[in-house]
Amino acid sequence: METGRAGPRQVGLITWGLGLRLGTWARELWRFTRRKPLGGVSLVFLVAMVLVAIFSPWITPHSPYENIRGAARVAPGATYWFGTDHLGRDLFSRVLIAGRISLFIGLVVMLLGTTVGSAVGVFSAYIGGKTDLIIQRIVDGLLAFPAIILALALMATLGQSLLNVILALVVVNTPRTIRTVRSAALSIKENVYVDAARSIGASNLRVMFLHVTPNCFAPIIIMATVTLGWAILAEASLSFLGLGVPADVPTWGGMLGTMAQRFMRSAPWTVVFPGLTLTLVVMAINLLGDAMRDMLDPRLRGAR
Amino acid sequence: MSGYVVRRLLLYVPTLIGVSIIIFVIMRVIPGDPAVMVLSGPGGEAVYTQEDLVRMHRILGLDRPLVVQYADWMWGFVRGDWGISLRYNADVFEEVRRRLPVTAELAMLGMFIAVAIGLPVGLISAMRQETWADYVGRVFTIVGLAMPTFWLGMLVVVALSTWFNWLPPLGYAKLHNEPWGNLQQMSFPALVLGYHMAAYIARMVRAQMLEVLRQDYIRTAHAKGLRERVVVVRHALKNALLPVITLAGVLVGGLLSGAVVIELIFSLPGIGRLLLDGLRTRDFPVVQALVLVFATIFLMVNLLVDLLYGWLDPRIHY
Repeated sequence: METGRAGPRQVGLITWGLGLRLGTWARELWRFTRRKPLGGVSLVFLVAMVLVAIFSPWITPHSPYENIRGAARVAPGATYWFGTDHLGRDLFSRVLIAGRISLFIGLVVMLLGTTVGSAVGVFSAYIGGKTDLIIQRIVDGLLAFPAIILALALMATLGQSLLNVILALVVVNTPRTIRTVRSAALSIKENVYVDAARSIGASNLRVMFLHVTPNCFAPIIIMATVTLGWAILAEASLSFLGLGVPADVPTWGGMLGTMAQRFMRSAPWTVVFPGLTLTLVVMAINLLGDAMRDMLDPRLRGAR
Repeated sequence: MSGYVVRRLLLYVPTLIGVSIIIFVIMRVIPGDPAVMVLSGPGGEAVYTQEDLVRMHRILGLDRPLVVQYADWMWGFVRGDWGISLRYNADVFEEVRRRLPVTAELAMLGMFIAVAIGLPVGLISAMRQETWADYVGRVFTIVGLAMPTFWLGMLVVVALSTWFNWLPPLGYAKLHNEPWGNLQQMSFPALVLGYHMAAYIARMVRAQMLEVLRQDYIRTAHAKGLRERVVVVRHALKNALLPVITLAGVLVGGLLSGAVVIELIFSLPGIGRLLLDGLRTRDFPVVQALVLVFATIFLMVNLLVDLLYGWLDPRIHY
């Protein structure tokens, strides 16, 4: 076949292939939902939450930042679904907007932590020797702290910003991923196919990324879902304690902070709704993670 | 076994030194200058002159080499000289000694509640798998794992104040002065703190019990006509609980960070509260000492768990 510009035939083929791919995905998803209904429902809920978070600036019924005159601490009702806070801001709109930051931080921490953690974990296991020893001692040191306490100390010295929250959470959580992936990679690298790849002259990098890493996929995915739920809860704790993102950025944890505590008796709804949303999201992530763990880890199948 | 214990104890010291170095680096190197941290406001705005900075350097001993500063801090820490709080002008060691019993009591009560609830829930869930009891147990677990401790704490305070007109008291009733008042004050914080951990325990106990109940020796025990209770308690539970002990490390981490938020919500004067105030006001002698205290407790419990595990599981030889 001649090379060069794709003719109509090739375009048709590619489209057909893509359609097949999507079909497979949809079928896989359907199979997953049928076998793990709770996991399927959680997945749908999470996708809906992410979409709401993305489009929240356009779909909030009121402005999440505007102080509505004479409407401070209005109870939930037809106009303000979740009520208003102490400054007369619509809580429903704020919960939607807050989802943006909370979910964004969770997803970024998950992606960064899982990528860095997997790479370092596989590298450490594959190279071995002194390098492994040094990396593992650093990991030991970081794991010697209660995670939230270390994150709080980092936030206090780094200063409050979105980037610093992400940085602090990645620093305290990634060692756990490194540890888990390393132990998986240690057993994977003993397989014959790794020797085979090496004997035909594959470079170390090639073996690590094309042979070892893909076979550590199950623990990596499991660590990723654990990290996502943890990161969202951790961000909420930091912001709740006033050491997360700056106070003027709405997040679910931040909405429960100092001011909500002061007014929680006269306006309990300011406490109920942000916390409820947070809990439901974390619950969905945990349930999805459990379902995926059951599918991916045959050893644990049916154990819970 | 004794060789293993000695080796672990010897490893404990370098790990603690590593931990202290990490804290030192975080406190001294990353922000660039603790003196700036002390002098500037909470938002990081600078309102000081060059002379202020130099004077502050001398007061805090920051004009000396880093190694000397570190050695000085560590030597002081070992002797119980933890420095003076920059905001309260109080001796940090004295302050921690005064507040530690509050946090210790909260943590122990929380742990007790966690075990007292988590263990039976997990056990019943596994014994009656796929019945309503199991579903109730699993909902209890799923909710407990997802609910942030601080939110549950706030809900409890709101509920108590709305329906029973109860407010977190301003004063603190000491255990040995007013035992009854103290228990009243501590029970709700401990319950809130314990619930999250109870969920962890219940989940782990259930999973382990299901695993163990399928083993051959359980069938053998049933076959030789042992009563259900004996099979469950003596054969199954004993083996299922072993891996649960490894959870203690995770739980103590949760306990320590949970103490920070619980003490804030229920206004208890513990070391979690002290740490939080220190972090918020950038009181670095307090933060430095307390983070090391938290890490030391955390490491000590993990060490004990490892030793206990080796002692309890006869299959493990070191």
